[in-house]
Amino acid sequence: MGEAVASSPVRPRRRIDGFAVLGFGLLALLAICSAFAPWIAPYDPNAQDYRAVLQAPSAAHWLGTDHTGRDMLSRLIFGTRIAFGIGFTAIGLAVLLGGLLGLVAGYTRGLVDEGIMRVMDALLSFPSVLLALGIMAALGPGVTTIIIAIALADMPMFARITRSQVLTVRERDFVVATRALGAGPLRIIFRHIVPHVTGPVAVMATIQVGHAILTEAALSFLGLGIQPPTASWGAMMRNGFSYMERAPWLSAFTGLAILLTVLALNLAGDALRDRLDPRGESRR
Amino acid sequence: MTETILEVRNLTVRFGQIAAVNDVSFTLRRGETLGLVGESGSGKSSASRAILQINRPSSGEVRFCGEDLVSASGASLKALRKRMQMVFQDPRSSLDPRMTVGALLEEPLVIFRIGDRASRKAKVAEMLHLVGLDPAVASRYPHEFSGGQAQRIAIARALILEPELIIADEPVSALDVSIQAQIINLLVKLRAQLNLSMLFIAHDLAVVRHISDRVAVMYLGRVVELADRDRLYGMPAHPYTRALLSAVPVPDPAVEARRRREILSGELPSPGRLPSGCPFRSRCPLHAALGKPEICGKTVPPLLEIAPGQAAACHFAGEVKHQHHQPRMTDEAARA
Repeated sequence: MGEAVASSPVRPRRRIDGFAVLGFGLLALLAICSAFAPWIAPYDPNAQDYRAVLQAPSAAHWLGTDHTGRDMLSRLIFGTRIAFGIGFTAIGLAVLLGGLLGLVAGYTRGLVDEGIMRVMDALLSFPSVLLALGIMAALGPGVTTIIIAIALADMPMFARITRSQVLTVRERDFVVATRALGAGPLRIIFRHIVPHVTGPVAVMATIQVGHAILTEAALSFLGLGIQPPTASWGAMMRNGFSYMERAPWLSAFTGLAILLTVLALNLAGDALRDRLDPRGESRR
Repeated sequence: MTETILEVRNLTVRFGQIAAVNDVSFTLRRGETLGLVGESGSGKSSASRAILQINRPSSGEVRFCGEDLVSASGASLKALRKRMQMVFQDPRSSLDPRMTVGALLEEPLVIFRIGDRASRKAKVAEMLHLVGLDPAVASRYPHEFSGGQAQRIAIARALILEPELIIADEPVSALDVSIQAQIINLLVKLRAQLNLSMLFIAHDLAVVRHISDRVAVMYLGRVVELADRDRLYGMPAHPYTRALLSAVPVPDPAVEARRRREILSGELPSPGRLPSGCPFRSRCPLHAALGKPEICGKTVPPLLEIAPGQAAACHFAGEVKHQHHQPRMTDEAARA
């Protein structure tokens, strides 16, 4: 009796995935922090207070203060703006450039494909932080260059994943059928191929935003990224590093903020993958 | 004589060294249905795709209403494509899963800039009705339908441009047997209603029999027999056709019990390493029965007319008919 229900066309109710809730919840929280930083932060992130340097967490300064007496909580909250701003812009740019190159390579194949992909392979052969480091060294530090550096370093990955998706989708019957119908390449690419490519690219992009935030932190830690006094997690890490013994909370809280952000993005990416895969083949 | 709608001359499709379609020629008259039969890998699908110029043929001619398709490109090819459409084997893969049925059916009209939005919607509803579906399904997605319903949608999509020629590439092979008959009957009905010419591809002679006026049998990229339907099923001339026909079960237990099955020996040879001469030589029961005549290994038998309305590519096509009525020892034993 109960088995007859299984064949009903009604969609089965989705299981609520705790990790997905955690991921998207954290992400929402961080997004709010980033959007409303000036209203949420208890202090001006750049206001120095030499009467209260390197203070441990207390009621006045929940997460303590740094060597110039700046409130750590306020700086971390403002840091989300830099992290998210750079992460999303850089990956957005990488998706746009890489996606376009991957589409062209996968659809045309032949020499164009060969040319594009060999350049991508060359870029991919550098570790991304190293590549970004090189680009930063050439262009000089700053927010714009860090975005360009991360975008260029991540672009080949998106070119690859897009191309491989295009190669499989373009051979599927519905694309062949549309070609037989007399449709031009633009219609085939944008109406029939792109919708099937966006899923895996979106998943990859979500996870890569976390990666980009790490790269930005690493570059700023090395002194090549965001310049003081702007509140950047990487620069704060570096700063805390100098006072590791006297004020370990500086590094600890900054590290925790980075960890939670990257974790949230990874969980969100996983949840997105499960959601976008209509047959749930890659379910954990 | 009736007008020829499709003329295929010496069509060859190569993939690297392998000729998937080798020197295939046939004509299709307006309003006629030609069944194209062969096992997997015999080149049926490659031939159909080369005819529609989805994959360009390596050599040969394809003429549609007298116009050369192989040399056509751009706007002229697009204009010709409007008049010939294809139905694919598996509707679940030939319909874009991310588009609604309405959008899928409307797309051909959009591509050819036919009508305005309202008239296109009306046409979509009309086509859905024509293939036996409720026009309200236009807002649903292909995966919400059964295989048979989805194939009806695919047929509606192929017919919405009012083509003159339909190439159906195994349109029922992916469907349940009970649904196959419904789809075939639908195609028969629409063919008469819309005066369609059809190239109907299948790997099953029984399926083709009901719908075809003439039947072509392919083996390893070549047409080995091409005959009027009744002629082919009644008096097959090529040993391969005979073997295929002997594999079709008969829905009469008395006949079925006495049915003599011709079991082909060996495997389908790799298309990269064909036997010399006749490609069927390595598995041909007649070749063995005649004591392996030398000519079979030397020359490829041409497709020659052996009777009115029947052509076969076998050096000994005459012998087949002779042999056909000789009962074998094994049959006598089975009957005893």
